Order: sequence, then structure tokens, then C-alpha cells
Amino acid sequence: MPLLSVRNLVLHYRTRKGLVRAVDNVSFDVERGQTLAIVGESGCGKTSTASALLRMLPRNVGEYAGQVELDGTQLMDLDEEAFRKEVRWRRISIVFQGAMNALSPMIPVGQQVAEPLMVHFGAEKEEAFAKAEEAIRNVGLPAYTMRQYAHELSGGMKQRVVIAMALIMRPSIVILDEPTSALDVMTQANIMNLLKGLKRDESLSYIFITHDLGLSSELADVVAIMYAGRIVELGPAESVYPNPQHPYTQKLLASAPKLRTEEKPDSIRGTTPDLIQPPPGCRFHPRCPYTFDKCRTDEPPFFGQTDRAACWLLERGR
Amino acid sequence: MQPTGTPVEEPEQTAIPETIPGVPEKSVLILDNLQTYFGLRQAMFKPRIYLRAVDGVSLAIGKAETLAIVGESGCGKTTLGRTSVRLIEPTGGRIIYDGQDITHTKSRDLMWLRRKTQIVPQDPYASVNPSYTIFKVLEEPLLVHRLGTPQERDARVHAALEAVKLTPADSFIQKYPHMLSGGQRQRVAVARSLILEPELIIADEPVSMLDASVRISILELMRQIQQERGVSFLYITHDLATAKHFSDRIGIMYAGKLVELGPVKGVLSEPLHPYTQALMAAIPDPDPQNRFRILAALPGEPPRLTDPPPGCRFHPRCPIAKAGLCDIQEPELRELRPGHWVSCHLAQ
Repeated sequence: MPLLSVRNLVLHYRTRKGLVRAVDNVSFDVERGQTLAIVGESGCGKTSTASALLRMLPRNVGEYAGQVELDGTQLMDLDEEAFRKEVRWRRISIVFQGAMNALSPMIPVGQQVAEPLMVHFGAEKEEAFAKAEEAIRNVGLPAYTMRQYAHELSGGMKQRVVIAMALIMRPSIVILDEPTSALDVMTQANIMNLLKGLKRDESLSYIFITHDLGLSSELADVVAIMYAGRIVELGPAESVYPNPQHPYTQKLLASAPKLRTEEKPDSIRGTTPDLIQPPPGCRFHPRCPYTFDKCRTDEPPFFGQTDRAACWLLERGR
Repeated sequence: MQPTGTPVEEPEQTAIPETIPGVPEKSVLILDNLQTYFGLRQAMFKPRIYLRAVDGVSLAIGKAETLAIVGESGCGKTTLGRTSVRLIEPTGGRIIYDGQDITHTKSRDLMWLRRKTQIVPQDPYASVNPSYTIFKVLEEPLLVHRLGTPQERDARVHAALEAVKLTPADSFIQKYPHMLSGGQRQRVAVARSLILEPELIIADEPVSMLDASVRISILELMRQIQQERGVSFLYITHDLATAKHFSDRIGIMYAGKLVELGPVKGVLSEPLHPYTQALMAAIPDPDPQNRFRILAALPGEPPRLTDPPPGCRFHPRCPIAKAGLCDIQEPELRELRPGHWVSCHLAQ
């Protein structure tokens, strides 16, 4: 049984212009100790998927539905209070995009790591600080970092503090939303090494949200490619990277400039669609080089066994 | 009408200093031991300390060439780009534009340089005036330089929009920036940089705010403009992979210094500086095997530029640094392969 099982997750936002279908019938599983990478361009709904899982929703939610089962618990059945107490941060936590810039400049970082333990979980001060120190050491920082302020730390160190915060309750799933997007490549490599080490030592599961296909392969056991609020391809890393099935995945891979091969990067024509009025049929059809009649009218289901892709080309047994 | 500040007589030609590494046959811009320091006062009666953002960089940009300057944030690459066209005053060294020493020219006598060099900034959301129509955005440089009649300006705006493939141009000129996508805005920024028909464009992280699928189309566009019009580009980026595919030569910067310079193929197929090697190792290409290995990343952080380490600035993080040499003596750029320069005592 998978650790996390998500079925038909829907999250729509109400705006003045209409309903934004940010997450539209998304389904996936995450196995224990495995990493699911959700890859897509900005505005494809990958961060909204994370908000939907953690039930951290803005006020303008139009529709929020689906089944989310975490280790036998139906999360959508829990009321807000139970979800806050039992699930959020305790069983699923998140490293937000740019979270390191949200550290308070006025409070030593150790106290910021310890605070949620006292406020939310009623831990005593000594116990909370001891746990915080353990978490700080666990992410490769010296214990005296506890007493330092955010401005004394480099970007990479601040990101480590934020990762320590996400791990402090020993959750079974950590959502990483672009955890290195503001960092330099060298620092990014160090953070990826840290995340790999934590995954191995603590058998953590990650949901790794990124726009960078190369970087996603640093952690992904399973890859989900998202486009315009939908998952268009979902499969094991071993087949998605070398042998992508969906034309969008193929194009996305071709558009990433490679450092080690001479293959010229190729752009994808057109722009990402409007999520208020997504194109009918397959949402990628206006940009797809292989579009035929059916693509314009009918929505493709998933085809394939292990590597599944939502594309009509696969029905014909290409 | 002639724009103000155009040199009337043929300016004096400055000889190319011999210490410049890898001078192309025809160069548009030469930097000779350029230094840009920022003075910081820490407290009222304390002496000023200096942040050495660019510390003795020499290089030359050829005509119709793209030179990529690659480095991590804070290495001085943006300062280098801005100093090289006198948008920041240099502290030392010389800037030679088209044979003319412009290091100390008064800025009011530099209007001709402002026309010949242009900048494509990083953030298309911040660099385009939101209250101007696209037409006004593109017409403004022409007005500043008092070029053309209204009809001519109109024609040039249309031509620039067509050059960046925002077609039909008529459907864009009356739009406001908020009506465009990020990629379209960046095309407007490129069009604005082209409208004065410059010789050199400084593109400072022109695509880092854009999505992967759009990024390549902007870089392709810039490459095409360069090849069709013979414009030179200084492409400032942190991204080695795009530099590889869209430039002719690469310079690698670390802590205010140029550590390696050479043709793209040479530098990336045989990186000679340990920093370049580490930078390459830290960038993953999509590969399912990646998750089973630990990246060979360097420990530590780049040094503070107010107080750089003695000797080679990379020595505290360098995996092959030799005590008694690298921590004492500063390496100079040496040409180890034809056109491929590196500043490392130990590179061979």
C-alpha cells in the first residue's frame, strides 16, 4: 500500500475573470522512502498541488475536492482542527519556495526552529530547544547556529535551517517546493546532497516540486510531468528521462540545454494556456507538433502500464 | 540632426595593451586590468573598507561575437558588465571602446557610447515602464537621442518589433506591458535594445526569470540578431548550460577575478581551472542514475570581497591547492591551450 495516495484532487480559485483551474483531477501515489518529482513550468499548478495536500488554501477557493489517503487516514474527512493537530507538519511538512527569506531577522534562528514545538505541540522550552539543536545538527550546521540571526547566515545555511524546521516533527512526507531556486549552483549541489542523505538515513518520502528537469533527476524515483493543471505523464525515472512518452515531456526535455551533450536545445512554440479557459481536448494540443483531430475535441485518458501518459498518440500504438 | 556628443573628429586610437588575454582579430571593447571597488564606511570615524567587486579583469570582446561571463552571485559579473560601459565608474584600469580610451571621458561626452551600447536587463517585469504603451517604450530611446522624424521613428519601432518576432507589430504597439507575458516583455526589452542599432549589447541574465520553454526562444532570437546584424554580446549569466549553447567564448569569474577564458568547446570539454571543474560537476543533466550518487560539490562559500584571501582566491575551497604556493602567490592568466587561458598555478 502506498504511503500517500491522491485521487482526483481538484483545487480551483475564484477570480474576477472566472474560475482558475489550477489543479484539475490530479492523481498519484507516493511510496514509503520514495521521491515523487512534480515537474512543470510556472503556472502549471505544481505549487497549488502542494497547497491542496497541506490544506493551506487562500480565501478565494472555488472548489476543493478529491481523496487523499495518508497511511490509512482519509485526510479530506478530517476537520480543520484535527488536520492542524495531527497532520500538518507532524506527518506532512513543507519547505516553501524562498522560505529562507521568511526567517525573522529579530529572533535567533534556533528559537524559530523550536517555537512551533512549544506553540503547537506544548513542548517544554528545554525539550524544544534540545530537539531544535538536534535538527540543526542533522542538516549539517554547527550547534552554535542556534544562537545566530538570519543575517549572519549565508543563503545555503538559511536553507538548511528551513529544512531543519520541516524535519523537526519527523514527518513521513516532506514537500520540497523549489527548495534551491534562489541558490547558486554550488550551494544547490550541497543542499541536494543533504536531501539525498536525509532520504537514505531516515527513509523519508519527498514530493519534490521543480521546473528543472535536470535537478529533478537528483531525487526522483517517480516523475510526474504537469501541464495546465493536469498530470500528463507519470512514470518511473528509469523510463521517463530516457524515453518520455508524452510530446510535452519530450519537448520539455529537448528545451533544457545540456552541459554534457552537443544536442541543441529546442524551444516549445506558443505559450502556456490560460487556466480559466483551458483549450478543449488535450490541453497541450495548440503547442503539440503531432496534433490531430481527436486531440482538439476529446480529452485523452492515460495509456501505458508503468510509464503512463495522457496522449491520444499512444492509443494508436505508435 | 546629429545626436549630441558625437565625436566630431576621428578619435585617437589607443594601442591594445599586450597583457590582454585572447584578443580577437577585431575587438569592439577591451578591458585592461579593470577594477571596480565600492567604498563602504562601517562607522563614522572608522576608515573606509573596500569591496573589490571587480579586481583586475582584462578581456576583449570581438566584433559580432558572444562572450559569456559565467559566475555565481556576488562574483562581480554584473558589476563588470556595467563598468565596462561606464554605468559604474571604474576604480582603476582602462576601458577601450573601438580603439578609444573611454575610462575617464566625461559622461556628458559619452552620448555616442550610450547609442552604440545597450543593455538587456534581467527582469522584464521591472524594466519596462508599466504606464507606457509598447510604442512609447520603444520610441523613448529615439527621442532621447533625437533621432528621426515621427514617421521614421514609427517605422523603426515597427521594424524592431518585427525583428523580435512580435508580429503583427500593429497589434502590439498600443498594448501596455501588463497585457504581455513574461517572454513577450523580454522580447520588448530586446527590441528596445536594438532600436538604436547598437554595436554591443550587455545582456545581464536576460532569461533567468523566464520559463524553460520560453528561455530558449529568447536566446535563439539574440543569437540570430547577432549573426544577422553583427552585434557583439556580453552575455552575463550563472548558467553554464545556456552559455554553452549560445556563445562563442566563455569567461569564468570567481570572487572578482577572471579565472578561465577560452572558446566554449575548449573550456567545457577540458576545463582547466578547478573552480570551472567544480561548477560543471554541480550541474546535473536529466539522468535517472543521478539520484544514486552524491554530487561532487565544493565545501564552503565564496570569500567576502572586502577581505579576499591572499594568493589564489579559490585556494581555501580548492581540492588541489598546494600550501606554500596557492595561499601566497597570486596566479596570473596563462595561455595553456591556443586561445584558452587559465589562472591557476597547478593547471597544465
